[in-house]
Amino acid sequence: MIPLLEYIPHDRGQRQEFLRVFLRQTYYTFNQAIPLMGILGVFAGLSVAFQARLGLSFIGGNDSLGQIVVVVLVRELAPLMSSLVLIARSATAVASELATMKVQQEIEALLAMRINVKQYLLGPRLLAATLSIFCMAICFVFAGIVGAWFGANFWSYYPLFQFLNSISLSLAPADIFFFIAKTTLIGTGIFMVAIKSGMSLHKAPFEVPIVTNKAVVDALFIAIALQIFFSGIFYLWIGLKM
Amino acid sequence: MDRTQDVIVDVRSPAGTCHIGTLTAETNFNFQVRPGQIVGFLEARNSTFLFRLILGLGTLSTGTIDFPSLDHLRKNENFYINFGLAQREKGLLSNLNILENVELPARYHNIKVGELGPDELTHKALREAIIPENFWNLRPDHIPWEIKKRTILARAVVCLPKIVLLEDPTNMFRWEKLPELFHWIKLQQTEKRATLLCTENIPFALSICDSVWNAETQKLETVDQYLEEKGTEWSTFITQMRKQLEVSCVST
Repeated sequence: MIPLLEYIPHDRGQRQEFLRVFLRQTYYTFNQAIPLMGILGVFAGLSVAFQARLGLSFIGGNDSLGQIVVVVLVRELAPLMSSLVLIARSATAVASELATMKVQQEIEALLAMRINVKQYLLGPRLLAATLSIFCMAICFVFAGIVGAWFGANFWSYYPLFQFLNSISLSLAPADIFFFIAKTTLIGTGIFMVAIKSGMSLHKAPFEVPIVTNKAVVDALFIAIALQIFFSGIFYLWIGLKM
Repeated sequence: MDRTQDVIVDVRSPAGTCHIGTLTAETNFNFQVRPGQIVGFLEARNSTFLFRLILGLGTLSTGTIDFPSLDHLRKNENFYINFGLAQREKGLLSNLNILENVELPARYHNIKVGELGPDELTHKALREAIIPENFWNLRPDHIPWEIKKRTILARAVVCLPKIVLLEDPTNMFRWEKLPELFHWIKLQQTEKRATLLCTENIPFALSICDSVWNAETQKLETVDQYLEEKGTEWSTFITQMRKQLEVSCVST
């Protein structure tokens, strides 16, 4: 269990610096990823709806399109794609940044200035990752819905109202709860792994790519393991309810 | 009056480990430093370890390091902000500009002295280290080495510490700019700040320090005592150099 209190600033000055680092990290992790999440979401939604509509048209189940979009996009693809983008863009950056900071004696300088590394460096990054991955997943879902509507309209007209209605009817409170839990915990897990790898460097600059590589592999493992774990819990819970 | 009350650092044969190495008991550092005193260590390795132990960044296995005149502050959570460390050449945060680098400790600890807040203290430290304003908004990788070193020095004193530890202060300074460094260190003395510096630039150290650590005799000696042992040639040279630094310092 992480002693989370260590990551929370106490004084006014500490809180200001926490906020400053948090905003900077959020800018890099979330704001700069918006276009990428949008493009990925549109293409994913387009592809899912295009294929689903084609398949469903043979069995006359066009009303199930919303359910398929919710299952594929909201439950599975959004958390997975967001975690992959987070690993590729930010976990690598954080691991290599922290490792380089160690080589450049920046961490030592912070310690000498009695600046709590957990509060100043790690806490804001963890919080930024947790919120950013959730926002990235939301972007992906919205872009995915837009893409899915275009995909649904590729073969024949599918009214927008009917499409949105079908999605909203398929979206259960449990979907929202698991979506939040999945994205935030995966984001935290990925950044914790990245931070641990970055801070594990000892002295030599040649270790920087090694710890970055390790961060990517470990973060991928954690992300996929958590994804499977949450999906398993979700379907078990659904199964028990039925 | 009890003279020990004036002592700001009391070092007695410390040995211990910090993350960059181990200080062995053989070095036998035994000395006391008073406010405003400038003490030089004429080698870098062991004194670097000693500085880390003074800063509480390591674990003492034997010996003691006490701060008699700061004992009343000991219970304070931020006791160690009474110490400033200027590292050799690294340590500036690469994602912050010069101003932010110096400002960081003052802002983080929310240092206020009278009407001076973190911003004013930062500007004061930057001006005292003679860092031109056109560099303030640049990141460390866009500035000359000498400005980097000045920034490291400015950051070490921005929180107005009682003791400042300088690792190789002359490193990255051009020869003709040494009077500015001389002036800066003397300024710390006028502010009653104890200064401990380690350097391999022996002439500069002998010119500015009040006392130096003699590793051979394992004693803290006054510069005059040290020069007496070295001979008259050294004495003459250091006297001339000191005059030169003082004169140039006045002219700058």
